[in-house]
Amino acid sequence: MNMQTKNAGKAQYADIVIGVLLLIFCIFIFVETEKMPVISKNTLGSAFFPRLLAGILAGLSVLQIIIGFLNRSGERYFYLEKEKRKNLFDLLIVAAFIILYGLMWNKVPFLITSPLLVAVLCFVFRMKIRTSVILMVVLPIFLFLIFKNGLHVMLM
Amino acid sequence: MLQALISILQPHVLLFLFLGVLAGIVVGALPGLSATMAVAVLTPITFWLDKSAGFAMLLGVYNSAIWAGGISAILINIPGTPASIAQTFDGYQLARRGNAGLALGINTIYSVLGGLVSTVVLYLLAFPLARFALKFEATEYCAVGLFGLSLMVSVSQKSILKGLIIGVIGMLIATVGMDPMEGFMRFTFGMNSLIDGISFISIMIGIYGIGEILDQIWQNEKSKRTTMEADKVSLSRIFPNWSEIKRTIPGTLLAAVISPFIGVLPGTGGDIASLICWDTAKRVSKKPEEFGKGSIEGIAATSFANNGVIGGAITTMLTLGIPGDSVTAVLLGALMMYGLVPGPRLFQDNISFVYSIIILMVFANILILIVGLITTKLSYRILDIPKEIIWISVVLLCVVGSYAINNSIADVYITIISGVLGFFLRRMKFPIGPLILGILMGKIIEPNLRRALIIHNGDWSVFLTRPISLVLILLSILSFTWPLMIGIFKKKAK
Repeated sequence: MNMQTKNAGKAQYADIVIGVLLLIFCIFIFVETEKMPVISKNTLGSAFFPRLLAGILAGLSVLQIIIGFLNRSGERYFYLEKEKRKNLFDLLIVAAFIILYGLMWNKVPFLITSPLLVAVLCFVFRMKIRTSVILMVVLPIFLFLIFKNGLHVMLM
Repeated sequence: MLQALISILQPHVLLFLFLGVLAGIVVGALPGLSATMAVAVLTPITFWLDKSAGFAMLLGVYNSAIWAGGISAILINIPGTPASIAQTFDGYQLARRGNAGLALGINTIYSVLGGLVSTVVLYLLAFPLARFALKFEATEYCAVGLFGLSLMVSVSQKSILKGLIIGVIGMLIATVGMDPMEGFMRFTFGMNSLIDGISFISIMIGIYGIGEILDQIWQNEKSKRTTMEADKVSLSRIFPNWSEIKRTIPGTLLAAVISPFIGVLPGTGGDIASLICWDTAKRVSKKPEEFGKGSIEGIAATSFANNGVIGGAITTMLTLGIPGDSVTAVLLGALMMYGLVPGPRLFQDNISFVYSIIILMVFANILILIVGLITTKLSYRILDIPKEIIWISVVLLCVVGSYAINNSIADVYITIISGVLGFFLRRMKFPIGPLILGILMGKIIEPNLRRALIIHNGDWSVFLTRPISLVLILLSILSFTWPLMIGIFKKKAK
């Protein structure tokens, strides 16, 4: 467990994992292109270009895996210094609420979800209450007026 | 030309140009927010305006953000955009010596000069280049697309391999939807919203907007001071005197020659141009020892260079459909969103719009000069805007903007997914530029590659037997291998 934590986010392992995932992705592309119809042998067909790209990508992925194995730099992609550790929490909350906001899009009125999202983000960023309240009210109404009334976008 | 001028002189077009310039000042001056992000986030709003007004706003943001990047470089030693990196060398030092106003004034005046000279280059170069590009057939278009992608990959800062991988993934994304030649559905998985392909604008907004914000939250340093007040720097006079202007002439003239042509090269940008011009200005200076210590020649050359590339970058975008840098990649997407196809045909079918762009560039620079000089003494106030307010505004604008393009919830999902993906790509040192270029170039390369092979009975040697195509293929190979060769030479030299 300790070893796992120690190695988490190391560029070497991340590069290898990405390379393997990309190889799987290439196989998926090949399988999907098999389903594409061919009009005649003279035309290159819809599958030609994706297959060509998947082949190139597979070759590059193998290179990525090899480079991952050779990488001894000890660099970390997702490393945070001690004083920045809380940023991970902030990031997760912000990302989760953006996703939730997207899922509620046009299911719940814009003028309800948007102030809620702004309120959560203001809280996460530890902003002053007065600034947060002003932002919660002004920003969604401003965007609503511009997009719904000004640009005639179908906002709920 | 006159028709284009009349269409631009309408009050609403000038208003959106002005709004674009104002938005560009805020985005450019605040470190971390890029011109690319601003153009990407504002693109959906412009979709609802007429083409001239929409592009006026985007060109206003582009020109203004690149210039305003120098404000934070001068006042707090942090470049507002990558293009203003070289301005920190002398701008900040000049400010610390009590001449912040002069540094900001030089930044404004020489940036505008650079922008105007690059517009002249755009005017002089675009039309002959477009006439030349009319000779292109499928083979050449395919080679041009490959060349554009190769250049952007070759400038992928740390890893060319990652640049290549992400470029190929971009081209794969471009294959989603209806096959342009045979009409079959590819990778749509029965979803109607994917028939027209994955919305390029939504990806762009997600990656450059939400992705950038998530990355900034990850790197956020609460304690880092970003305001100027504590330094108590005197803003002093704004305009350089005659002897100072005379000293800047050699370096500026060289920058006028170098920067527009760096802009023409796909994949390069203001950062590379200003670094090269700073070095060149130092070589021709009578006082090279002052460079890096607050040299007026240094700040003038770099200010000129970062806006001097814009006209060149727009030239390649308009004539060949290849973006000169990441901002023009986004602008290219915006043009496509308006239903315009960049390339030589644009100069035949929409010549009035091409003139509009050239005139808008001139107007944008004049506006920057006026706004820049008037607001010089207030510019440090922009740096007081808390970044959290910008983050929240950008997140909300990204989601609403992506929905506004087609009134489609699928676009909202694509934007959010792209945003999360953008964060991981940034963290894992994948360059973003090749992904965007891959999506754009994929749409050019695929049909032209297939067309060329069908016409020549599947003979791949056609790419090597046609002279223009051969040159472009060789240049592509060179640009892919150049950084590797440099690395090998450096190792051997050591």
